[in-house]
Amino acid sequence: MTAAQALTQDAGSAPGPPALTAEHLCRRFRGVTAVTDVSLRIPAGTRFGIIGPNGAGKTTLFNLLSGELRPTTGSVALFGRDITGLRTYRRVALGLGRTFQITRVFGDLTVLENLTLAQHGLSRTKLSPLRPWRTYRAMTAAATELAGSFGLAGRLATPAAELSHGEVRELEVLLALALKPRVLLLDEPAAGLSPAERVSIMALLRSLPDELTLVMIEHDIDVLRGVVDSAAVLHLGALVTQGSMRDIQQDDRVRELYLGRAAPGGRHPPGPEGSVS
Amino acid sequence: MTGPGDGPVPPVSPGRPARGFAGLALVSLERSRPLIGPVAGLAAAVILFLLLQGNGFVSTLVVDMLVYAIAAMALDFLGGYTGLISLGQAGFLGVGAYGVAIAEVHFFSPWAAVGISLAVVLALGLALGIVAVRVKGVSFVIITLALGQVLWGLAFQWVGLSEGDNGISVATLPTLGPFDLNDPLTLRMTVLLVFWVVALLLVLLVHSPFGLSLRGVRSNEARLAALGYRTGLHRYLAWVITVFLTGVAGVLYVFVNQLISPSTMDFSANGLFVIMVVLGGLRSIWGPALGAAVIVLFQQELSLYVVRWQTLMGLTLIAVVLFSPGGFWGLVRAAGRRRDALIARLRARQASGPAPAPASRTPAKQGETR
Repeated sequence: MTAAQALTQDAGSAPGPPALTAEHLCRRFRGVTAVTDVSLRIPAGTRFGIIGPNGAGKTTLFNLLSGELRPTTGSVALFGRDITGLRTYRRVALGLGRTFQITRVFGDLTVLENLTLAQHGLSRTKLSPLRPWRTYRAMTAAATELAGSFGLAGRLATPAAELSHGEVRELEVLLALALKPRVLLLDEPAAGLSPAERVSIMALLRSLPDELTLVMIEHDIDVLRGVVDSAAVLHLGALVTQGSMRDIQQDDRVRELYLGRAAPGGRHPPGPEGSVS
Repeated sequence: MTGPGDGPVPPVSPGRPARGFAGLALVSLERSRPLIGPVAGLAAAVILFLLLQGNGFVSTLVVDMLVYAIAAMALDFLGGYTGLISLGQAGFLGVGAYGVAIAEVHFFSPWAAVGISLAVVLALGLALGIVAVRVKGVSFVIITLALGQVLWGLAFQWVGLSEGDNGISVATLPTLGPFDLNDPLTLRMTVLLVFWVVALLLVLLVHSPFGLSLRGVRSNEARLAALGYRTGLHRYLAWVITVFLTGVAGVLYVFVNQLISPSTMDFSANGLFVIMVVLGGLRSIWGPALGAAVIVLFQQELSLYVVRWQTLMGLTLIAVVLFSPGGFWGLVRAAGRRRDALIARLRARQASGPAPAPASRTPAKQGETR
């Protein structure tokens, strides 16, 4: 926990409360502990990675942060406000957006309908019963613009189920962005993508505004390099370490976790075996 | 989406002279595209109006169809759009009907009886929704089935209130000055009017942001919650709307039949509503109205000539599910898609014709979005 404390002190000097804080989060499923005593402090405006092999509890941690799951013990705070007891939709209203590892878009709705739904998400108009949604020009225009800014302009009338996998991952991120979140949780945005698609989604992520706090799950350290500034490493539900990417890549425990015991020293970038799957 | 005329309308080809037969066909297809829906609706309105004028068996049949169509369309709103298939609809239709009948037995005026009945249905929807909407999928089907059976059981066994198996007959219907529902023609016209009001209300609902959110609930509820939607509330509202409209159908039912007995609410009646919706086409509002018409036709007319009419109904259902999974309305939608594809083909041919006309950008396959 020394690294965590160091990071905490670092962030303490920054103005304003941290974007997202987790205090001693635990989550047990029928005796199986998926997340054990995880404390995070993610300063506003940073790009933060959550790394760990599959089964490390990354997604469970995300579900605790976003509200899909309640922690068994511990608390979550968003910009200093305790949100542990708030349900997902309330957290979204406070600026916490997320994407899902197993892509969740509205398959039988068109791209335009998907994005329009997202546009109405934080507005009272989402319960508007009698006016056709197509007549909310500002909403549909914003949805169209969002689609256009990331290469889905020609696909507005296409049902999301007919998009390519890469396009679906993009739509997934756009749905979350449509709500203009202050903190965005991305669950393996590059999962299952071809190298070319991976490049384009990473470009999308790098183009996001600086003030947006990004928290990204990834089991492949390579993907995170160049995208995140600092990261936390999870293993078997517990925090192994957290700190800057440079520290993490040089951390012996992390190297052991990813490369096995026979890890050679030096600055070798983790090879394909770096992606534990 | 309720009709083939929905979705982004491909723009009429810009000022190019039509060439030959293909050009003429293209222009007429393009021009007629936005008109077909309204014209068909108007034709249906006129035909229904005329069919209800006579006092013969046709008008009786059509009125029954309209009453069931209201309940079927309401079920489509919940089952088709929101993805919550309810197997307790006959129960709520019965509550609407019994509400009127019981209130009249207890010396309330007919108008007060209508008000009481609708209030009871609404209260019941609000209260039961708290339980029913907690669950989804098969659990929801089972819970609504149980609720429907409880309501049926009350009607059957609470003899002091419901007069049990005999049912209650309603002798006098509401009157307001010259507007007298005891007059058969006025009653039929009122049913027709309520049918159109409910149908248009549902069409507006499914095209609104609220309706879009219900399709989102059905498609991926967890995602919708992550977009800031309180999805439980949306499901609850859809449930209450459907229960209330089914109660409205129940009020009309007891006016038309002047009798309500437990058999209207029995187990098979619940299934019949689901069959109407599936046969007509889920997620189309108009389709379930057609489905209701066909089922009522089977039930009341075919049964006079064919003893095994239920076998025929079953075979029809199987055939529809196999050959047009979208129900009757699926055929209408398919025709609309074929028309749009034809428009696109004709445009492409026009654009690549011999004349040096500038190739217009043709949206390849636009229009029907679902």
